[in-house]
Amino acid sequence: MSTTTLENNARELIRNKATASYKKRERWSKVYTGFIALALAIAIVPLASIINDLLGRGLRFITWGFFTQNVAQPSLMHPQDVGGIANAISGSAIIVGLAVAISVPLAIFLAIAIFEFKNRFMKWVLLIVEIFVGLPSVVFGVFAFVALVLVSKQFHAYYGSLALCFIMVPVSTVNSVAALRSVPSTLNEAGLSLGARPSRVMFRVIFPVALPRIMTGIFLALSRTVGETAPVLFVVGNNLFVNWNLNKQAATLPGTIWNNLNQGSPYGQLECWGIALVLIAFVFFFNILGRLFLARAEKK
Amino acid sequence: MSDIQPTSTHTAGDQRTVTPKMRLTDTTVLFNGKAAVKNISFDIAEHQVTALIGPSGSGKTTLLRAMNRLHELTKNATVTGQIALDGTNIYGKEIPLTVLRSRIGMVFQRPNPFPTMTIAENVVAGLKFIGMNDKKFLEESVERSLTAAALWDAVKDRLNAPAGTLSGGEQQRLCVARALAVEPEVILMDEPTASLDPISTQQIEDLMSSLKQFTTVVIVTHNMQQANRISDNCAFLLMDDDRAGQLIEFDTTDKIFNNPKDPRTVDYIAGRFG
Repeated sequence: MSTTTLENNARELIRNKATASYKKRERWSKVYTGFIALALAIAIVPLASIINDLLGRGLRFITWGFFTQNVAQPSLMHPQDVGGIANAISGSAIIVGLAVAISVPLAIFLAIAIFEFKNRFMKWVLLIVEIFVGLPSVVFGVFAFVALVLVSKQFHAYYGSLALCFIMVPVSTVNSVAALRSVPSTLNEAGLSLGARPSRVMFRVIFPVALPRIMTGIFLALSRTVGETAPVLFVVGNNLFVNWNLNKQAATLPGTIWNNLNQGSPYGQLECWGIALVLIAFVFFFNILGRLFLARAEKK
Repeated sequence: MSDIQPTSTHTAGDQRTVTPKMRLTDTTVLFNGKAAVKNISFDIAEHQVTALIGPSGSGKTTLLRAMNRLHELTKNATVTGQIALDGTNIYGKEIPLTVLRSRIGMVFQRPNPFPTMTIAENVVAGLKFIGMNDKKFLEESVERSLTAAALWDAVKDRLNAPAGTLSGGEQQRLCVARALAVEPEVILMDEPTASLDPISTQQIEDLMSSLKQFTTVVIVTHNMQQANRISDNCAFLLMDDDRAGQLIEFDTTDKIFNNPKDPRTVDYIAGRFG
């Protein structure tokens, strides 16, 4: 009989404790929810106001001519004739295009090497790559300026591509290593237990499974690269015309904003809103593309 | 062919005259110098099912993975003693590692079909990995392997569907088919039904007796009834005081379950520990 009473007492005690614990948790839950809502507001309000400003001030520049005309020098008679951004779009396209063409194979090759060879040397390589991810991009711009422009005494579009590789390769590599590591090791074991060479298992099993996530990483790196100003600003010079030659100087979208702000006419400075809007649209586009790949990877 | 003397104490009674497919002699598997299983010796008879039983931590899976050298994926893993396939040491230079693993296949605890491949592609993945590209040969292999794995009828109309569309039990039978496609002489199974529901488990168990015709099976199982139902011989492992697995008893399944010699086997079979 006494054990039953003891049991009942213990049970009551535990239930009371559980209820008290639940109520406490509820109170804290409300506090934390408040914090998170506040943090969200702090993050969203500036972003929303920026986009609002961009749309409000930049949208009127978005015309067909804005994309098809080159930058122009406003005259006294036509103070608003600052032209378009066709030259900057062509420059940004070839610079980023070459950067992608160099970076993607290099980053994938590096990622596979880091993933496959788990020795001390590769650990150091990964550490260095991770340090590069964290470096401010202006460092690469100055480095490219000193190593390329000062030496050759010339500006070239492809200098900008090389400078951008310093951003794209580390970011893509780190993302690709994470993508490869997210593949279950049992797939590797299954492949090896069929008598396959490790390289076959890597390229036929592990890499295809990791590919959507690798693509996500590359597009996120790309969306960061498109808007980068510092690395290209010092090394590509400028070009007033549409140019597809990587050996010539080139205008870029971020560079044009920089030029307009510093030396443009009052109307040219206003035009920066339009260019910024285009730039944001590109970044947004590559971001969405990357996330689409991620969604596909997670569905599987 | 075999230069290894029979280890009579650890040879199943009525199998003594049969040439073993595999022979373990004083096999010790170490990780970072610490033994996970110690001094294991027994024979694996051809075209029979040999079960490794014992409580968690007794080294069954470690021993199984040492049999096709998959444990080498773990850093600092070493093996002493000998594991022989048809009388040849699998740790010697005579058998290249990739050839060894195609001769000794494996089915894992959880179904692990290759997710980016179709059902048919999964089956012949091992053949394609070694450069087999004859279309007719591959097609025949798909049907032969899936039939042997008792999956052909269920999937013959959707061979080009992604492997992920199959149920868990079907995926595991697909993995059996994938392992069979490279015509292994031995199949190692690491608790192949541990993640399956009772019906799928039943199907895999039914498969086991027919698999014996094609190959030799070594299976790790936690399930005593399963070991009793499907195996011909049983190896009972137990962790010793150094936390290393040791072979307590090896005999025909009938003797292990009905007339065990070692009192520890008696206790384990009776469910007194483990």
